[in-house]
Amino acid sequence: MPRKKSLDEEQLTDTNYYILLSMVHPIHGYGIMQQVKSISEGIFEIGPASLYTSLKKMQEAGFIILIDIGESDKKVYQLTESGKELLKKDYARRKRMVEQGKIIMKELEDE
Amino acid sequence: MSNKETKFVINWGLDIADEYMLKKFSRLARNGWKLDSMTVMGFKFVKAQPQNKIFALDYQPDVRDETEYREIFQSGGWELACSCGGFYIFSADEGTCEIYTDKTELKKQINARFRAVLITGIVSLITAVTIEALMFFNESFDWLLGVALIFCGIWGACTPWLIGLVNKKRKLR
Repeated sequence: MPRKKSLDEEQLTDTNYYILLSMVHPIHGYGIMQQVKSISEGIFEIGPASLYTSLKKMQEAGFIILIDIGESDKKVYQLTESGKELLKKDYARRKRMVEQGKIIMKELEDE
Repeated sequence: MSNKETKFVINWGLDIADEYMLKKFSRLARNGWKLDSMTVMGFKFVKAQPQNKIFALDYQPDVRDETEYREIFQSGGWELACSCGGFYIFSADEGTCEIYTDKTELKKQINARFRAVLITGIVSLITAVTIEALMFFNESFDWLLGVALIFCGIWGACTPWLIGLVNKKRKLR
């Protein structure tokens, strides 16, 4: 199944990266968009259809879980252990990319 | 078609003429018509205050928790106007961020629908042709004419649908 494969490759799209970041603390579905905007300093906006589809895919892949917290039928999303691992790996990958470019970019800025 | 309080707009196919219809809904909203409900055949509007609204379409065949789904859209400024058969129509104020910011999923959904409609169309065509052939070679199968016509009709409906989906795929490239 190609869809699961892309999630297993330990490489997240920017959209999914921000979504997982927003779930480090349990969060309601309707709060994710605002949280992503806040984390990305207002730069990154996710449309509701993209968000809903991503949430569905990540639940199916077992990276996040929607749980009932018991108060008036409200449910929250949180990361599973494999979701946490995936986020850590992707953060490390992005950090590595920046480090690899650091020296070269410094040359560019010194010109 | 309208009396003073309600108006009915034909559904030209949400995979065929969605851009045209969504723009028409905006025009109607500006002229004081609110989208109230829909069926496969069309959309019902009721008289209301004129408003500047934009409309969007989402196809989700398997929404398990509709409250959750609606709340996520609400948090982005989109209100559910009506739905039917997995197609959901949302409205929002002008300038609201579009519902799909990442087009990858949208492309996958359109491809999946394309495959489903293509298979339905081909199977219907083959069935209709097979029945016609049977009828041609053996008179005792004449009673199957009605069945053949139904399958012809299904194939006939699939063709414009496929054209609409191909057009959508082309626009997303």
